[in-house]
Amino acid sequence: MDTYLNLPAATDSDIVAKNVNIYYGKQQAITNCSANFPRHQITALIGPSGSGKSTFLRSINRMNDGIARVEGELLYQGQNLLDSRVNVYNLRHQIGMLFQKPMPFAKSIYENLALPLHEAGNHNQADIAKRIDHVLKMVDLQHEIGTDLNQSALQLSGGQQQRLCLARTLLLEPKVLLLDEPASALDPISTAKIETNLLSLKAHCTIIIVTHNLEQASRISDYTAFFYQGQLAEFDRTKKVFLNPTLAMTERYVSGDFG
Amino acid sequence: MNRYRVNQIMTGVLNGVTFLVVLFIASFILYLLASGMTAVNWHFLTTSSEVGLGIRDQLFNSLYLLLLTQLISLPIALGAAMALTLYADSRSKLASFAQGLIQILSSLPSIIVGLFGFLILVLKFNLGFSIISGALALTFFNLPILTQSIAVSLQGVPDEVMQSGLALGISKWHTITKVILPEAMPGIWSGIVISAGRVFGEAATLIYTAGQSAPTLDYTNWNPFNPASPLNIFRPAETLAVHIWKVNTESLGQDAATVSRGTIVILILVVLLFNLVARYFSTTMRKKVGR
Repeated sequence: MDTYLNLPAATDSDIVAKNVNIYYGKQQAITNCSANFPRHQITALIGPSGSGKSTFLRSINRMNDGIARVEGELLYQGQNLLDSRVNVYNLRHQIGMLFQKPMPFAKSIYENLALPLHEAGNHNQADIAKRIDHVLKMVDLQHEIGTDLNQSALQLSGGQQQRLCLARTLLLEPKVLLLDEPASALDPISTAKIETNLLSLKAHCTIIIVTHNLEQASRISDYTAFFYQGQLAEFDRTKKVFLNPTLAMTERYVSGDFG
Repeated sequence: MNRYRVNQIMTGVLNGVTFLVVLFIASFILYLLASGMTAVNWHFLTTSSEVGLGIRDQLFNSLYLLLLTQLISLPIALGAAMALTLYADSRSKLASFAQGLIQILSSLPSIIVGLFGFLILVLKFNLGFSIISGALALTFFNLPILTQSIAVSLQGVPDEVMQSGLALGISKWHTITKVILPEAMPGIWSGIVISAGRVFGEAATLIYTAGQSAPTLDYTNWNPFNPASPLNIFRPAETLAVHIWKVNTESLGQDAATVSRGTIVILILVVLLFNLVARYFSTTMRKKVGR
């Protein structure tokens, strides 16, 4: 299969993949994927269902541990995060993840936000309150939910729940944010709010987002990676991929010929 | 006949069937309660069957056996349910084998469990007809039901909750204990209470394990090693359900019928109470933590 990779410099990248192969049992899901994900930029992973983009994404914070076998090198700030000596809990504090379905815990808003901090060893009430206040502002949730943080997180709307989950991830101040179709279950207004959040988060986070929404990819991402049948087919600046892709296959996908 | 008419008729038929079932059960329970209510009074509840026509000790025995059974079953059932739903690979052969065994055990006739308990616990381990033999036999009876209901409650928590917990750097064990178990708690509680109702009414398992005699207990004696102490787990203990069986098979006369009916009333009322408590848990707690 033809591939065309116009990768940004590895030195400017927070996540660098080198010859990554991923297997579910004997079945190979990702073949020889090498890519650089530039610091404080948004990279969109696009491609048809089953192309391996979610599998690849989930390997970056080791969520595939015990599910899939990941070979090759995934460098986070120069260190191979696939190394078995890496402390996955610390790793996941630094590489946060947001999923497709909004999934707040069945607890109050406060408990949802305090739990990850408690688990990370932070028991300073004043500091926790300050951090919660800060992240709720970051996701523009504060004026919507008011001051009552004891209300159940499940009473929020789907869009608010997803932004609460984003806030919960941001509490640990991740350097990298992985998003697996974070807006696909949301209405257009909630989607727009999440996108606004992501664009402002770019200032201090490297963001990698899997999306089936091509307009979303072209709206918010700086780079786009097109996955096809378990291979990274094309990687380039988003403008280039959407306006003048190098491969005919990419052209067909972004123009909606198949998907 | 057009399909809309058929739809109307079938809705009517199903409503009718439901109504008949409810009518049957309600009148059955009401009949039992009405025919036994006259036998129930304070004296009946506070007198030993050895000295008068009372069920004081049987009532205590039933509750004590239930408590012990749940104390033994619950940790095992909870552990097994967690292992099967949260730890085992759903494709693993061992897990599906274990699941199959649990299903078989749950459909085992209770008289078989009783005879098994008699051979193993009463004779082989020399525990005699005792509360501990009864509680262990009831545990065999109770475990599959409890494990399955806890497993169903745990499965009711979306997989993504576990994923979210792990992705936040929370360990698997803490995600389970601090997030998944609290969310599954309403279901687990109602599972415990419903299984309690079944254990409370169980007779066949106990006839050969806890025995059919109810020596008079001294409720002021709290030394668990004294044979007259209600807390002693090595004394024989007849329960309400066994008492009903024994009174109807071994006794004759007017008194036996009265005692039997009165005991039935108490048994039904306690089981009804358990079911109401279970409903309360599943509705009010779900309101608090339900998804």
